[in-house]
Amino acid sequence: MDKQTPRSRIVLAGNPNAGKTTLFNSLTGMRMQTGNFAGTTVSKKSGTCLLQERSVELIDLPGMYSLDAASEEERVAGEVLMGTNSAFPRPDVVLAVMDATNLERNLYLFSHITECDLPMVVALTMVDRAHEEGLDVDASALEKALGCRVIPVNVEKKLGVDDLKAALSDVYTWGVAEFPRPHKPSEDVRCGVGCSGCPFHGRFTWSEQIVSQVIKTRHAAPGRLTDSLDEILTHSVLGLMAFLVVMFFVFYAIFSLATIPMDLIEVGFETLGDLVARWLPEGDLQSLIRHGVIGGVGGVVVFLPQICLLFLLLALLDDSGYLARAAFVMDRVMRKVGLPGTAFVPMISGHACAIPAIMATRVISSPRDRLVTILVLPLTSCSARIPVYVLMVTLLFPHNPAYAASALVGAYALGILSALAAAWGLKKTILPGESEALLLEMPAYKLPNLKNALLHTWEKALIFLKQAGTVILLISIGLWVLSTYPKTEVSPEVASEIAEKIQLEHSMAGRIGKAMEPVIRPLGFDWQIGIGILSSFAAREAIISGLSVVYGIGESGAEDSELLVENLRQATRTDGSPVFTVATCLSLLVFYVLAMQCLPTQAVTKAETGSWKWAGFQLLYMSVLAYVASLVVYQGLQLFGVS
Amino acid sequence: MQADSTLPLKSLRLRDLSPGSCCVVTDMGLANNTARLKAMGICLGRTLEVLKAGDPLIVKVYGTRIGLSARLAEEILVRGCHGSQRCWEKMKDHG
Repeated sequence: MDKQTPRSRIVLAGNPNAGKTTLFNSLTGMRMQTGNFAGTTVSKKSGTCLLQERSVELIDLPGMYSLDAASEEERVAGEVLMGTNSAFPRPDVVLAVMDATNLERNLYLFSHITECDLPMVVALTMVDRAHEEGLDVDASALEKALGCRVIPVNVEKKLGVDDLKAALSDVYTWGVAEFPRPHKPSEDVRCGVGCSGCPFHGRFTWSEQIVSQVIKTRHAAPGRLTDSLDEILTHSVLGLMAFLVVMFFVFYAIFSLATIPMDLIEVGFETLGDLVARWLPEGDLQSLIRHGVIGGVGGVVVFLPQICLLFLLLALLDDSGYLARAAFVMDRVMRKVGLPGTAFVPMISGHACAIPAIMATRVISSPRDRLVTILVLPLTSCSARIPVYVLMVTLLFPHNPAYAASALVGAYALGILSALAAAWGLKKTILPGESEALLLEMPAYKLPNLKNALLHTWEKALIFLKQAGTVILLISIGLWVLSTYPKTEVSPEVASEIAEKIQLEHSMAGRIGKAMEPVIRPLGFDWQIGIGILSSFAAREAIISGLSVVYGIGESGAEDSELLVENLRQATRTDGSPVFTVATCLSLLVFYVLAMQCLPTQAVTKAETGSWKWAGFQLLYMSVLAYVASLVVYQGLQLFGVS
Repeated sequence: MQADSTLPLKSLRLRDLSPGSCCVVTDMGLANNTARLKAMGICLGRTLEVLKAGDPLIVKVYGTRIGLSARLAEEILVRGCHGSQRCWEKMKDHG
């Protein structure tokens, strides 16, 4: 196909859970791109599909129940189908996906789409399952009733996909303009005359009539699997326990399995840094590339395995039907603080990284609920905090692993509880109102499709890397500049660790750290910790390399954790008293649980809420929260004589 | 099928039905403002089956399960149903 003529477009439309994604993946394979519909946060997925000799663009619309514009997704989908979206030319053909197990509801959406006056082809999915439930669909009768081709498709068994492609290419053989359109329901049905103007009633009655013509019902004993599993998984007590067990395994997998690829990535970036050191002459350029670019991006990319694994597991759980149940049982808990049950997936993801978690809030339909979730999400303890938690806990309880473990659990619990408390606080102040009432389809349980889940994970990983590649890169270069300039002359006899320390002290970052000292003094922090906190703004774990430089063991010292802990323990203030007392360590731990110290997250908050206002608010309230909490901890402990 | 025969034909709140009840929606109340609820098939004249009572509750409509908050179910008025296709299937299953 040459590039001058615009490519033909086919849009894929259907209810959520109708098997749209599986069909899309099978028609396009890996040839796809993800992004947003221009000017919206509605995800757009498009791919290339080959029909005979013709290459067409296949666009997956978001799953929807109607075109009533009840949500942003439905509004955008409606605009695309009607051809009223200026950024998106009208498609040629609609490929409607219909689930045979609930044809009435799928036909309801179909009745809306017929009004777009486009050629349509129907892919009928889940025919097997309908058969098991005692519903036999007569596809040719359905074709006759709808006035368009209806192709039963089973992607897993590779049935019908070729027929479907043939039917789609027929449209082009005939010509899009001439191709017959499906029957539209009569005016009565659409405006609902005879039912006091309820258009829903009219359309559903129309669907029921069609279903009664095309489905033969026979007595069957449908599998009771879903019903019996739901007895447990949606139970008010057992369901919550099941949820905790599932989440335990998810996190166990993330924190155990992901360590191997994470170590590999770390080694990879270090090797890259060493190579640069060998190839480039010593100087600012080498330092910029090594510490600013490679170090900064590597520090964030290292979390990619955890993020991918989390997304893979969540995608599998979603496909199996479990996530809807988890949202169902969590709704009762989360509603109390003004969060919807659907906010739990982002809240779980936040424990890996707030960036993909904030993007995952798109599943929340109410704008208020979504905003609240985005604002409180960074309080959950992300992976970048772990190194800091571990360092503080080791300083606090070097010889007591049980205490150390409890302190770690405590830090996580503080994160979750403060997120819930902050949601409650927002509900009582600037974002009043109840969370939107739960309304959620609970699809039948099934074995998840690994290929779909892997593709989904791949998409998410690409989105995360795009963020890391742009925002994080800029931020880490900025921080490199702050900690490198202005330059100081250090006599060459001085050991390199000490030279690094002197250089950092005199840099802009060092000066800001010193200027901050009066403010952070009441929390038990000195200017060295101030520099550490400042370096955390690229990614929180950067405080560790920051501290190892300011305490004179050099950047490479950060890799030897025993040496670092020993040095920090021996660090003293000018009056000779130790810096890292129990009070200071606890105060710093609390500060790292609560503080907003991640500029990449702020950039995502801005992108998803559409304004810097909310990102600024997030920074402000979290900083105040962290400051006050650390102040209370440090001063409280001083008061009780713990030092 | 005991649940159906015990349901009177007068209006009841969907919220108050016990699991296993079949009913037909007679009035959507304030839930009428929730377009998504109606597009999902919970609207005037549709037949529902309660699978799980409580808050949130689960109803079955057109072969799919829908979890909904009691806040919505409180608004929806229903009557007991007789002879609808889905309920008929259910009655047969229960022997």
